[in-house]
Amino acid sequence: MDAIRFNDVTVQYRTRRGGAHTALKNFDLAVRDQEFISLVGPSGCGKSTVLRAAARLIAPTSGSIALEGERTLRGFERVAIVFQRPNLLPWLNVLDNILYPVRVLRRVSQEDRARASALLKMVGLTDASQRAPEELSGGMQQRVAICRALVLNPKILLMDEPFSALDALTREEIQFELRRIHEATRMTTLFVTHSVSEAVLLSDRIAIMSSAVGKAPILCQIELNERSEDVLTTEKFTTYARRVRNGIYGRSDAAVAA
Amino acid sequence: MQRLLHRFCKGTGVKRLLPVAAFVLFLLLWQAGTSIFKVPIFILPAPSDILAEFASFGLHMLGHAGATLETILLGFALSILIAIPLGALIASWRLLSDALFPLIVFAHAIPVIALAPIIVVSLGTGLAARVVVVVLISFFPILVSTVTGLRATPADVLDLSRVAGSSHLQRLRMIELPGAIPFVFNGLRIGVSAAVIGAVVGEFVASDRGLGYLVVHSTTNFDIRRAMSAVVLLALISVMLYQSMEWLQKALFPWSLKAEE
Ligand SMILES: Nc1ncnc2c1ncn2[C@@H]1O[C@H](COP(=O)(O)OP(=O)(O)O)[C@@H](O)[C@H]1O
Ligand SMILES: [Mg+2]
Repeated sequence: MDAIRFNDVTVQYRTRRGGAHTALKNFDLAVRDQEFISLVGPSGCGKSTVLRAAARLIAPTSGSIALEGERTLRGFERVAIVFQRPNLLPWLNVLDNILYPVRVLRRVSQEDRARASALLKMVGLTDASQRAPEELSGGMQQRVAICRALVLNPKILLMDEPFSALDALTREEIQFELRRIHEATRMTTLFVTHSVSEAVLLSDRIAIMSSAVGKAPILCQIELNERSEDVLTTEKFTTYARRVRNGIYGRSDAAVAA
Repeated sequence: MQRLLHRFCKGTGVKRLLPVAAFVLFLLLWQAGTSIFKVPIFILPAPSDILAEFASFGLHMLGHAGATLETILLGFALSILIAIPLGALIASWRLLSDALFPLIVFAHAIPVIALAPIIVVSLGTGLAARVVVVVLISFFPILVSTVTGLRATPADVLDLSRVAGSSHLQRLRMIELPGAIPFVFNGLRIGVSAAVIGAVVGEFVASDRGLGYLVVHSTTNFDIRRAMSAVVLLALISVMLYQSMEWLQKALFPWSLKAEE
């Protein structure tokens, strides 16, 4: 079963001069249930547009997007999103920031609090629950943003370059963390990144988008037995990374039937 | 030398004493200047003269100050009550904002001081006329800062709340209004200072009480010392009100100060 289905999706933005700019054309993609799929590709190729369309932030000009749980679930129960910046609310402490998506839908219950605390524990921030967001480092804030996305146990998790504002070390740490979370929850994840190694490390599948609007994405299945630090130096990993890179730059041998 | 001074200032509580010292120095120069150059009291009274005036006339003056404060606070409260809800409406309702904003900008361009005598003609010389002048002058900074603050929410935060499924009202209550707090308080600080000016102008044209009235009345009688004393008291009221906005913000929304730094 597919968690997200993009059917022949075209998105046009209105430009300031009254024209139309086609950001995405006849885009097809089936995101499988429970998979971690990354979108990679040159800047401006429409990655964010795909994500925002899936989040229903923009309506496609033509085509359709089917989402799992569309009928029954609301808000972050169905789709949760994480951006490049943590976007925490400065007037709420960490715990209340995490509970924000709950508060939009209903009264916060004791179980909700317990779940928020458990998520904080999972990312190693138990002690920060009563602190103000400004007091945390960028990496800690982004961890809180991930907890906020997970608090309602969404069917689908959307992430738009969530780690690209972090320093290299923090970034690596949080990448492994995210993969661990994914393996524990098996939450369908659509992940945008411009880092090839990040995509290979995290993903079950990678969709390589082209700067040529309308060109179908190249799909690449990633099969790695483990996703720890050791994998980064294995030949399998570097082969995948080279293949994805070739795909991005339009060289052959990228496509591995997926 | 400068470096030494700098280090000295940084080390202790001297940093906070420095403005006080400057103020005292200013008063001393003023005092010395008036006595050295023998400036007559009807041109510029010395600080000691003003102090003497307070000593003899202070209690009576407090009555006037009370009247002025009443005008300021009534007008300022009314401004807040109109400006913040109107700001929320304008910021969240595109059509209304398109319709009203030009009018508001135009109204804001009117020099309220020039309007004051006209207001007296239509509303009489009572408290109502003075309060209206205060409202007209303190209302705009609060309105504009409220609208600006409500519109300053980062696009990603709005998107996040949309994906989370929040309604317009929820977005206003949970995201936009709290986010606008630092802006609103900026407006309140400007507004409360403007309200003091408004009250004085109101009393210039329409009153037999208040510090503004006292200034006009005393100068007509060439009692510059009394007029100056009233001005000093007005300045004190203005500073006090401005400070109380800071305290209020610190007490109610401590996070909003941290966010500004
Ligand atoms: N709001 C917008 N209005 C007009 N054009 C836009 C808007 N957002 C994105 N675009 C354009 O659409 C294209 C795809 O953008 P985007 O999806 O953000 O790319 P990516 O995330 O891959 O860098 C780009 O050419 C960009 O300039
Ligand atoms: Mg993007």
